[in-house]
Amino acid sequence: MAQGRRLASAGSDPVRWLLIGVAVLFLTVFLVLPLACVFIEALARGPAVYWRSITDSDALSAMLLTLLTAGVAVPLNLVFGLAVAWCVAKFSFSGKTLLVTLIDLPFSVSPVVAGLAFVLLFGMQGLFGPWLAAHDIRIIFAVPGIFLVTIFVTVPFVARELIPAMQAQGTDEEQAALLLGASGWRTFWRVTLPGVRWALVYGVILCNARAMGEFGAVSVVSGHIRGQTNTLPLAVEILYNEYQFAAAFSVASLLTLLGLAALVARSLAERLQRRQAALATAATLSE
Amino acid sequence: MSIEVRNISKAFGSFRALDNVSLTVPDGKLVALLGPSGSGKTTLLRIIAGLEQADSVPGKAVLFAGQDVSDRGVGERRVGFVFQHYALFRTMTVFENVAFGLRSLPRRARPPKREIAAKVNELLALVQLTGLENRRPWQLSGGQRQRVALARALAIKPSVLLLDEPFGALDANVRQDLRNWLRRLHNEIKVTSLFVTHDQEEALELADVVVIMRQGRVEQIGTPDEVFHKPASEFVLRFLGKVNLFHGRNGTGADPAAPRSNGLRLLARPHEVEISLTATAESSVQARVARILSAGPSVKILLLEADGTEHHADISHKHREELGLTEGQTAYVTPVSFHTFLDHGAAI
Amino acid sequence: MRLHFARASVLPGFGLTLGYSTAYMGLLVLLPLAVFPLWASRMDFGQFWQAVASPRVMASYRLTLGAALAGALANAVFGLVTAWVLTRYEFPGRRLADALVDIPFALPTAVSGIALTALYSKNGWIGRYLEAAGIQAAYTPLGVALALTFIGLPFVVRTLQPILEDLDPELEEAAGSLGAGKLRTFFRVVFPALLPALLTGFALAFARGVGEYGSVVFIAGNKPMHTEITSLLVLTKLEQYDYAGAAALALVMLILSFILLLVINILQWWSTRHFGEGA
Repeated sequence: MAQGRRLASAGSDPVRWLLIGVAVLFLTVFLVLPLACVFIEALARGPAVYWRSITDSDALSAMLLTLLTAGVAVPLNLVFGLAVAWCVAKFSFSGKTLLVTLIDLPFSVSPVVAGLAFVLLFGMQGLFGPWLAAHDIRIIFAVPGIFLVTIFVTVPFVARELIPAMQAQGTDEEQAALLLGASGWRTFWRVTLPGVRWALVYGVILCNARAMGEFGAVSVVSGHIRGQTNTLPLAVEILYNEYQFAAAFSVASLLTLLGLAALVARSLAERLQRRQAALATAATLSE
Repeated sequence: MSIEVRNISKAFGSFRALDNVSLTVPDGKLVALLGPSGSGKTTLLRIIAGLEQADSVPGKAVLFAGQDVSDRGVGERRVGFVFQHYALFRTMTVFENVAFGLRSLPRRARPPKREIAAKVNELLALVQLTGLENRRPWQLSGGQRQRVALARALAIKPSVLLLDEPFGALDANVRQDLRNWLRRLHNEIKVTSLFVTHDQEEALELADVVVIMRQGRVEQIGTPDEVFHKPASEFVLRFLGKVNLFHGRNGTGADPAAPRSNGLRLLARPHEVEISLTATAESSVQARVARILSAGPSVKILLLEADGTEHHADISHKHREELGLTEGQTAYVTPVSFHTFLDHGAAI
Repeated sequence: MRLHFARASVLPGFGLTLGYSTAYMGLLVLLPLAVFPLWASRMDFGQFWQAVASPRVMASYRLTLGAALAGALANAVFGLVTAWVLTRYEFPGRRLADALVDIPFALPTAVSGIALTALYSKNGWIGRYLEAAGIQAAYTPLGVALALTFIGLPFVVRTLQPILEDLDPELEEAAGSLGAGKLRTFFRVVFPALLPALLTGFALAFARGVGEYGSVVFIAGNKPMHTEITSLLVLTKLEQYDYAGAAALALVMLILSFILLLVINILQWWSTRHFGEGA
């Protein structure tokens, strides 16, 4: 309703169409073309090459590692997101602002710097390097390193979505549940969690997309060992640097589809939420 | 089950929300906690429920039927609590909301499914919501939501029922209906109930006993009759309705013999003053008729003294006709019965 | 001031969740970042200075900051127009355009990198026209700026949109009815209201650009002194086993991130203080 009113707002026709034109051109050049480019380049050598590229054994093992990485990073950051959102949104304590600011820190750190941090900690020359070597544990240039940096860069996603959602809930419903004799766990599972489910889903989708797509940080710690420590984004880089453009874009198209799916899922979740809110207002108005 | 609180204090930072409050709610009574905002009434309610902890002061206690429940958690006090904005579970249906308490019981105490359903339906019938089981809270009107909240609170067979501004979020007409309905419901189920309100009319109409609070202290406890007719302080008198002050103000009073020097204040409600065209007593005050509101069961008249002091009078339509009162005219206001207080507000 | 913990609340789990969150953040985020000052402290000043201020490093700073600034500026201008158009006008495809804005967030940076390179290289869809006009985009600083424009695009649009939606059109109408011309209305009434959010979006895009790696390395060409960004230089030092040098350079970048984070927080605080919680 409010949206419609604003959309009708002033702006003489030539200016209006000029501005629309500028915006559309800007979005086309910077967003539509790169997106289209991925798919067209991927299919440039025909569907057979495309299929072969994405079912190549190196590509499959990269896919597996990517899924595994997301499978480790997303649940951990989900649990963290729930915990931090609970204490930040439902309680007041000093240092809260600092904690919330720190959550965003991985967003503002360059992925290369993030990767380097783990190399300096766990690499051969690193702080714990000698100890790890003595115990024959490999973290850097191995799978655990990829897990660690991926967790680092995806820490904020779930938390950032959940904190405002839980804050908007308030604490009355939880108090009511506790008064009715529900345990803390039951209150959390049956009252708090269903209320923030869309934010949770959205946070997980974003976290997952980033976990699967992270390039810079993973690149630093991976060592690019084919079939072992290559994730999909790294496979894209290797194929591209080997001038296997069609193959590079084929693998890239998988990651692109993943990103697009995340966007679609989000807009679906938002639409559901809006529809529910609209129904709620309609119900209140019709009283 | 009676409720008793002893020596309850609560400070939020430097703000003293409750200052050594003690009071008893007799078994089966419907009691109103009445006071302006910031008087500590909601805090007291939340302390009784266990949602807030009172400051640890020696001798502080909350007792249900003589048993100290201070150490019991919120879930163990069996308190039915109705929140101001109901706090219905948004993601559950009406049925699930009401059933929540029963379903939260430990397994050995939990009734079988069919019994829960029967109990919930019985409660929904009690609050006149049969047929709305599958609605979600946002599909209900304000009054319906309030009744769901009540049914949900009653489902756990509460030992006491606590309601925070139960009618605060409702329209005026719904409010009146629900108020009468709640009174009838209470007569039926007789569970000791305590409700918070800032609306004196609501408290006086609905409650068996009214507790009037001010700045974290109990100002007076009594039946509606007692607090209305024998206010313990000027605050109580003023809080329960408009009053006219006849002495103790600055400037020249009408009555030089008034004991102004010892700080006495004389107050009368609008229906306790008489209007006449000539001074009828030493205490009569001359004032100009500023406004006459005659659309109602009585005629409300606003009079202004020369120094701007307002007086309110309620007189019958008949009396007004006899006086032939019109706006702008000069008249005399005389207290017929009144309450006297010392300057610091205490009754004498 | 006395440290105060949760005001006694009946909700359970405060200690557990706060303890877990702090430990998680401490171990996985703060501890790794603390390693940089530790490494840098092992160097003497001369070594440190050499690592962070050699001519090659200085050139990388100029490129990184310059391209990030150019990208953020382009986004400030075009992002403002885009946000305005998306919130104020109805036109076919508006919803789609709105959804597209998030693509740089959703696309893995390596994918963006190769796609942009393909577009702007000599025989790419856009590159061939630029080439004809005598402009080379790929493997030049211009290419870096283009990549950073792409990556920073959502920030300005998404920070401005809620403000524009909340901005009362009556304000503009009132200004219009007072006889102020369209442009005057915009610059005297609308623009000041948007400024804090615009600056926030600009700073976010700039900060992202400074640290960006994946979408830039492909299009940059990575010629030392010419198209080598600082992030890449960190990686190069690491590959040459110059751990201390890499750590020193990373420390500089980290400090810059902290400063930018601080600036962004101040801007956001300014924005919400002026224009309510809607920001």
